[in-house]
Amino acid sequence: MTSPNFNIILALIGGILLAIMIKLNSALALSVSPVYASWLAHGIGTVVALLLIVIVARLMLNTPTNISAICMASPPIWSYFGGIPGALVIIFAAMTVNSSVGLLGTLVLGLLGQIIFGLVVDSLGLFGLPKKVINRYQSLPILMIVSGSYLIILSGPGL
Amino acid sequence: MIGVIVIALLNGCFIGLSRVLNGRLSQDKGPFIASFYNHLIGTLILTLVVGIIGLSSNTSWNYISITNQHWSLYLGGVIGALYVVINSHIITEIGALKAALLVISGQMLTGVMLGLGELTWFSALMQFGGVALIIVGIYLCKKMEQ
Repeated sequence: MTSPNFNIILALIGGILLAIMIKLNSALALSVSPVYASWLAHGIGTVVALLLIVIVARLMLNTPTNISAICMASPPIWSYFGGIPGALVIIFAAMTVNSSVGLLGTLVLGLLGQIIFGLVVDSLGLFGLPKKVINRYQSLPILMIVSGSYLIILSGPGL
Repeated sequence: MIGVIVIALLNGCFIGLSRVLNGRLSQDKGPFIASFYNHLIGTLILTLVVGIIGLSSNTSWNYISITNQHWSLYLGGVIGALYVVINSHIITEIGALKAALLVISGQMLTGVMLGLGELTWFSALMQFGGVALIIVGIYLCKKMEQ
């Protein structure tokens, strides 16, 4: 088990990577279309993930970790399809950005959607994730991060 | 208007759904294999979409605009693969809500840094307030984790 602090830092690093990724992909989308840019990014991502698997498997050969246990594991079939909603996001975003909702609304509503979804999944323990008790103390960080994000999106640093 | 608002909200749910499914796969197969399947399935779906768009519109493929890109633009895909690895791991550890909150926080703080230099006093003030709120929010998330 990794320590709680380590996971928090890892999550923040994930956010940093995501911001840089969106910046690069939207620069690519300006010269080719958004869907096409996403297609290219997914293709490159597939190759890179495969390379990472090979590297990690090599490194694990010298450790006691049992690779065959990973090979034998059979997760539910639906867990393989995370790429479908992920790929659809770019298409729906293209729809809403060019509507009355605009870029600002797309970003803010998307953020709210993520948090509502997270709340529902955690409180019911859906999709095989551990069930987490949601109490009223959690509403404070939610409120602060959402309103802080709203201010930043409104000030428009071009996210 | 209501229709587009619902689509924009659903889009956020789709982002969450994608991450949760990858997280579930990661529980059994590890985050690297989860990232691989996420990108593989995504590529297949988008190949279909790109194909349909290409067939339904008469625009010919513009190969020149693809090869003329600066190489750094393709780094988006490389970073994406790493991002899914990280997210698939943390979501199984800290849950979907906290993962979403902290990823959004990192994203917003980076957005502020990437956008510095194009500020008016008013927008600088708004960003300062936003950054302060998010940092306190992260601190509260961290307190709850312990």
